[in-house]
Amino acid sequence: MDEPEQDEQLLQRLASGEATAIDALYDHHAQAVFALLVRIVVDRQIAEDLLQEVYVRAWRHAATYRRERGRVRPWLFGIAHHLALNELRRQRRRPRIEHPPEGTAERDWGSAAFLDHGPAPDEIVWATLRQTEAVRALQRLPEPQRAVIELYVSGYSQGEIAQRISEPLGTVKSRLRRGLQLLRQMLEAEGLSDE
Amino acid sequence: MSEDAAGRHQEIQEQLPDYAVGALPDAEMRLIAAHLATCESCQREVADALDAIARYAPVALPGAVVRERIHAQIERESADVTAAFPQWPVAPTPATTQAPARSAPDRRLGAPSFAGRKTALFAFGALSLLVLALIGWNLILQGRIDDRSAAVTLVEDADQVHPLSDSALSPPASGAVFTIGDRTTALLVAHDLPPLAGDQRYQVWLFTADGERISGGLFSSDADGHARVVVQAPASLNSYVALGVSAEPRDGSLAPTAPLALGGWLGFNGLPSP
Repeated sequence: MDEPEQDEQLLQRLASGEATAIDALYDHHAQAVFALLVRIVVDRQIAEDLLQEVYVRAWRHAATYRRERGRVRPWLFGIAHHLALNELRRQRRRPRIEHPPEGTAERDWGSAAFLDHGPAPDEIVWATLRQTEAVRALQRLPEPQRAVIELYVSGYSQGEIAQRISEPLGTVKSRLRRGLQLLRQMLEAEGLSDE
Repeated sequence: MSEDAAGRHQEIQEQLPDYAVGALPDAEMRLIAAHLATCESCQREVADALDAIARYAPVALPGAVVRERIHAQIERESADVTAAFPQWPVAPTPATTQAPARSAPDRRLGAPSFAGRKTALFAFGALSLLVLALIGWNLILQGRIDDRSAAVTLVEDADQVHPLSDSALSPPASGAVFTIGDRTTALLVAHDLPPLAGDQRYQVWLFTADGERISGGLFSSDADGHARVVVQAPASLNSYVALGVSAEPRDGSLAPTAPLALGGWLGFNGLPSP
């Protein structure tokens, strides 16, 4: 059974009340969802709060998942995206609360067991391997498109990319859009797509 | 597609990567979100951008504590639902295989599919708690009735709570309808509704067993996608089999023109016996 099918079974188990299935779903996608959240909201602690909410919502709404609307991974991305954009809207409406730099303070979650010591070493190795596999596809893109995608995923807006590489904004927009389309086609051709 | 619409579509396409990461002003974010609700090709491009970020952004790993917090919250919410559940009698609901075939609402026009009963029960339990907790807080009542006290009365006196667990949205919206006996008014509570374009509003639809779709009023959600609306039906709520919500033009439509953002059964009065 491939991972998308496993994911669908996990959601079915969640929908039938088997809450422990959340662990496997977390193992499959938490790193990708977290990367997405960090890219959008920037602050790691906020991203962790949102990651928690993504998985709680996945548990609450597992029964509403429909295979015909897409795989589980993009479904989780959709939940994460919605939450992250809501968070940005909230931040714009209220004064920003600065978090202390990592390592200078620990958040109080009401229990000593909740003190966070970061990801486990095996999780780091696994995440690095997964990313290495995906990077091979990215490296096969034409250089101008690859360059704008790398800047985009690293945190730059299209306008900022244009300034950084001294190219017109329109050129950056078309390179990024075309690059993302090509990337999807390559991933689909190699069976790496989530669609 | 008209030339204007095509031009606007192209403009939006170019902004989608910035939209995906929330790098546009709020007004543009709202316009694009509304466009996305009906444009599959743009939805696909946003999905491509999100996928690329998730694959290629610098490695970021959540702390191990997040998993524990997820477990703790699920346990807590499960316990809350168990404690709250007996307070709210549940409307009789049919077997999933029975209802859609018998009820005439047309799925092509966005009638609800009503899956996920178990999760719906959990969701409605949580919603019940949430509504009670928020009842004194900044009620948003729009549509045909703008009456705060009516909403409070409806929640306090409700003898039926109908979860709205079917949503064509991703991520899905959720909600519930509170009804009292055979009254013609009900309180609709919705969460996670996406923002609408300035020329749109959400429209409530009441489905009869004969397949008629009757408007139950128009409303807008707040900036966080929440809404609490008093629905005014032409007849007793008992005479409808389902309720749905779809995004429609500001002045409303004669029938749903978009997939249901939210939907659920109201009961089975009027349906023939199995």
